[in-house]
Amino acid sequence: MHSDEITTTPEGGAAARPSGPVAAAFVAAGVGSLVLGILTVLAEASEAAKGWLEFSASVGPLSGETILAVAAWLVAWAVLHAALRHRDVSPPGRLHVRRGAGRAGDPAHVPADLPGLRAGCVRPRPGGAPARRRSAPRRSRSTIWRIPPWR
Amino acid sequence: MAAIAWLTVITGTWVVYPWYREEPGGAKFQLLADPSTAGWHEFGMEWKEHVAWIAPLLATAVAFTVTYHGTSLIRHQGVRRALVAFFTAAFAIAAIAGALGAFITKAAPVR
Repeated sequence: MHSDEITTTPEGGAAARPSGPVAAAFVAAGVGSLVLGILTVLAEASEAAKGWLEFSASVGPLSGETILAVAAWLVAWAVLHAALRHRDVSPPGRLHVRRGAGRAGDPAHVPADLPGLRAGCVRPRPGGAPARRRSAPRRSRSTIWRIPPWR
Repeated sequence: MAAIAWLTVITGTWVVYPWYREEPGGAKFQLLADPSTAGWHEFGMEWKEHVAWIAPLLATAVAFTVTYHGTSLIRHQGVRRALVAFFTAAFAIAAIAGALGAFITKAAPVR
């Protein structure tokens, strides 16, 4: 059995918890890193910014950069966690949509909070029957750059 | 690893780093005084003191996710791959920062 087939089963039973909190933690880490990077560049580019970021004279501007980056990380995590805690989110990507929707035969497999990705789904046939899979799938770049679904 | 990474960056920034940049005899000024060692500060320390902070952010996200999913993580292959990427990045960042710190300490010991 292909390992990914385990993950795309919608019925995850009791173990299927929403993936929103996980996405919130990952994105918040990115936000914290981004803020740290922006503040570091600002401190190097501007003497005024460097002076403002010097929360501690002994540590220098690194003190302000790290305190603000950690604060941004915590705030981003709290906000994103509150917003996504009951939701399932998936990494955006056409390739994931193709794989997930193609296997399930149902665009509803794509989370409802990502409407832009629905356009790339395999549409069900009139009457509600799911689209059939091709006997020999075409080779495409999607077979190379496969983004696995979250669940 | 997340807890240790936080402990490391906090003590490194707020305890050891002030000794490093202490004027006039701090290791920073020893390094900058010699053009052959200035690069250790201008690249090595500048890189290490900032980028090392990314390691605990990534490691915390990994720790949270593992705690959140528990043993059911096996069902979430996409999440597992993301965790592998995050944790590898966190480990690599910590390793590079640690190695740079070791080299800098060799070039100009913090006293």
